[in-house]
Amino acid sequence: MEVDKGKGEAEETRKVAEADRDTVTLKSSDGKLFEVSKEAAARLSTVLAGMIAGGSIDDNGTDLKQIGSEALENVVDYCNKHANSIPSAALISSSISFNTAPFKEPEEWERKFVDRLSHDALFDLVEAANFLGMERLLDVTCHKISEMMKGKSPDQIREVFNIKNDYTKEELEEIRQELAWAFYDD
Amino acid sequence: MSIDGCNILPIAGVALHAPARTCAYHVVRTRASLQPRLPLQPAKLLLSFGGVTVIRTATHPAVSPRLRPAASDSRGRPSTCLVTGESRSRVSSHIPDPRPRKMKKPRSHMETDTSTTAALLLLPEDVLADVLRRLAPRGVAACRCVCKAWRALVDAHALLRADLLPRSLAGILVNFHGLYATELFSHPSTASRFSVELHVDDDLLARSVELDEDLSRHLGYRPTGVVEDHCNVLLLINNMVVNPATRWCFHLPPSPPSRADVDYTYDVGHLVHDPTISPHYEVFLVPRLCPLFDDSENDSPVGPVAEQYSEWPPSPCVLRVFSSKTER
Repeated sequence: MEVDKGKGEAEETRKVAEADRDTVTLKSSDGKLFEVSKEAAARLSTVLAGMIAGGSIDDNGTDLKQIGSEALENVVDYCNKHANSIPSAALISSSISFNTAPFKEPEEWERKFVDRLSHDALFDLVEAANFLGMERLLDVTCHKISEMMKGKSPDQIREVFNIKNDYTKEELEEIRQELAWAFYDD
Repeated sequence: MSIDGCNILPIAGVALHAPARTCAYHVVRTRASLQPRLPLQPAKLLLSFGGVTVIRTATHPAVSPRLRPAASDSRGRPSTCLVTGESRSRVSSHIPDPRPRKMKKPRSHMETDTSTTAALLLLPEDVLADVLRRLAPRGVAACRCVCKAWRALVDAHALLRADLLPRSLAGILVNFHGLYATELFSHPSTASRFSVELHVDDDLLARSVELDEDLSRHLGYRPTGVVEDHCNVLLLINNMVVNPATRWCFHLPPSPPSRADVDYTYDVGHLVHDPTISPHYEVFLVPRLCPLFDDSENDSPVGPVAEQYSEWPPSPCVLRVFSSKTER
């Protein structure tokens, strides 16, 4: 597991160069510690970049109370993988909208990275990415979720995401009439 | 007869250009609910189109002005739209900040009881909007039907561009065989606003509109230019792509000169656009060979030249494509 490896390396790093560390320690809501390269963290997360620049990084583990250990592990994993792949500024796309700019497709490894996640893990990761201001990760995860919805009927979407239908039959019929063009071949 | 696809409905020698597939379909559906469903009798269909020429004038004070392409409506007049979505008071006019990074309250453990996967609903609204924004309009429409919260979300973020997706019929354009101008049938009250805008950039056509002013006032239709092709809301007229509903129009750049060694060809423009899939359109210029009527082959529209060039390889004919995405 890369995280463990990263941790091990980090342990050594800490011993060797306590004063000039190139990693940051992040602490999840349930108290677990994760090491991530300072460079990658600053590049991928606007929030972490701000914290590093502002000196509010705690060597004993910066508290991220909003993020559970599983999500944080994925975040760190993503950072490490990202550092290993070819980092390029072009990857960080700006605000994406179907109506304006096309979304830059996730790369193969990013696709695999989110594919292996469970629904819950994916949603947690989205939230973590949002919280940490990780634009690219947010792009990739949002893209994944939207792919899960693609081409599905409202019923199927509800089923996939376990969403309760709170429309009455009449309301639903009305709303379908409003958007009749979208359902012409259902 | 196909309602779907390119929605050219050949009816007794009439090619019917419905302004939008959805419109044509909508009408057919309306009729279908009143009388036994298809197959439609051609004559009946025409009548039913006449009968159900639904014209509504819709203005979208909240939605239209900022969503519509800048060129569309500088005159500030209410637009006669194919769109008749009820103007949604819900739609907020602010454009949401692309990605506000708001701190979100940690999910309470109480909530996790409800369900594991309804977690999607607990995502911050901006994130969810970001997810839905990636879907094609049809997908967004489906999501709007999923639950009330999502409908509110879709409307609040204006994820469905109502201006691009018409829902009811404001008029019908017809290419009669043997006539060179496309006819517009619509209600007199909307016809003037509707069609004059089409020709505002074209002197020749504008003149023809003036000439027939009185006639059209009587008949409720106006002669227009020749609609070369149409695809959903967009029309291809005289090297322009036009959306009559929003009065948007785009002049295609001059196409690169065709090869000098190919005579007897002309280009036929074809328009490809499906607003439910992508906001972009493409124009294909398909080279056609003029039929050569040779005395010896009176019945064959394909002359020797055509045969010569249609053989494989190498055809000197070039298929030129313009895409609104790349603007080339």
